[in-house]
Amino acid sequence: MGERGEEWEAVMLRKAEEEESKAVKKVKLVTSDGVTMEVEISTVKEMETIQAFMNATDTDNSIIFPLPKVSSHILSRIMELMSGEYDQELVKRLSHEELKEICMVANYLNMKTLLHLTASAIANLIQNKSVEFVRHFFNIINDFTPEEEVQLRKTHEWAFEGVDED
Amino acid sequence: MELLPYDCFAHILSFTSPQDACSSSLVSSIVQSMADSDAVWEKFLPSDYHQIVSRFVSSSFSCSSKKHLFSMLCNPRPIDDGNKIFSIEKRSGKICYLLSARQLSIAWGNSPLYWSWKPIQGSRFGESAELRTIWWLEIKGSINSGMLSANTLYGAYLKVKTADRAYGLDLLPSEVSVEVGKHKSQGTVCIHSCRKTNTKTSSTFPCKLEDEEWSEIELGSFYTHSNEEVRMCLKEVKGVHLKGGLIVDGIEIRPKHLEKASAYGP
Repeated sequence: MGERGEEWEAVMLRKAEEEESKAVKKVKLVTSDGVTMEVEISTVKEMETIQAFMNATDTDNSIIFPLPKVSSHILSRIMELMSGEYDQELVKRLSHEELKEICMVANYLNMKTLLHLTASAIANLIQNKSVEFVRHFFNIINDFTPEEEVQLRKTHEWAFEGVDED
Repeated sequence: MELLPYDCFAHILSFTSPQDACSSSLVSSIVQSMADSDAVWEKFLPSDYHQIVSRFVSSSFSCSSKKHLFSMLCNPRPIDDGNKIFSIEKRSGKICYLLSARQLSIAWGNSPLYWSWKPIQGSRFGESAELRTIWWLEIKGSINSGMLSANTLYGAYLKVKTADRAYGLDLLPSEVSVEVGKHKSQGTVCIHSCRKTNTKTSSTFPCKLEDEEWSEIELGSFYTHSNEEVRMCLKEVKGVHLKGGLIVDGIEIRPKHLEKASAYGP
């Protein structure tokens, strides 16, 4: 009994330690505007880019991860979407600018669900729209010459039937 | 903001439609290279396109890209035993089939007394069926919905024309029906009044000059859920008078679009 009891205690102790370290372990995300956001390790699981970095470094201490391309505003929007389990209604409330930014961040952090959600939301916005609308939407400058554009329009003529008015 | 990264943009475009991807290639040269990418066009192809390509009667074609493959699949071509023609719809990438008259089950179709089989100008098949004379007019066709694109509203259309000597076809309306599982759509149609093929609505099988003689009779519509037998039928057996001169080319099954394809956008 005695030996077994000790063994048992040791197991429990190890378990408690593990749980404690799990609970403590947090990730600090530093945004482009210098704000540090402390997030649970479970949150980071979906951010595969960060997850891969953590797996590679294998440290027990809190990790600081700089996000030079992500503003605190966008990061907090992402946290809202994640805690809201990616509700479509939350997506609808985003501005076009926010939607594009979040899509880019989702792509950069390799967040599959979020990328899927935002990409399809943007797709809905540009579907059946004119070329000029899409240029304006993404703020893209046309670098085709008028001749090239005429030629391209000819090759894809069928694609321009029944496009929505801007 | 800066331009969305390549894979991000490709991801967005893959959620649009072939039509949108084509038109967006005019946005700029960078967007063009994204809009032409395999990552985008792979999504527009039928998921089992490898298997489909292997079923073509003459399977000797090569393509340089997924977009190229898409445009090749848009061209109708014989599949399986050659009694069916496969194509995908340009605007949506959805699967379409044209079943030949030989693929259909026509009551007394094998009796030369009632029906004759011959090549008809403007048909994509070697033979069409011409009604000599009969009072029991019944044409049935079937297809497994698993061969079509999933979760799609389809229409079934009987492709016919009438010979100059045609008679008795318009005395009574014909009954048309489409049945899938427990769901059944039915109606009546007057063969005499069926309209000439409209070039705008039948973009799947582009109207060549000789094609303009064919008319379409809508048999009904159905929605594809799972692997189910779709049974399509046209019959006029109530009037016991003789009918003749109807030429049957086959049944076309293609997606049915509601008036405005997209209601999205600001």
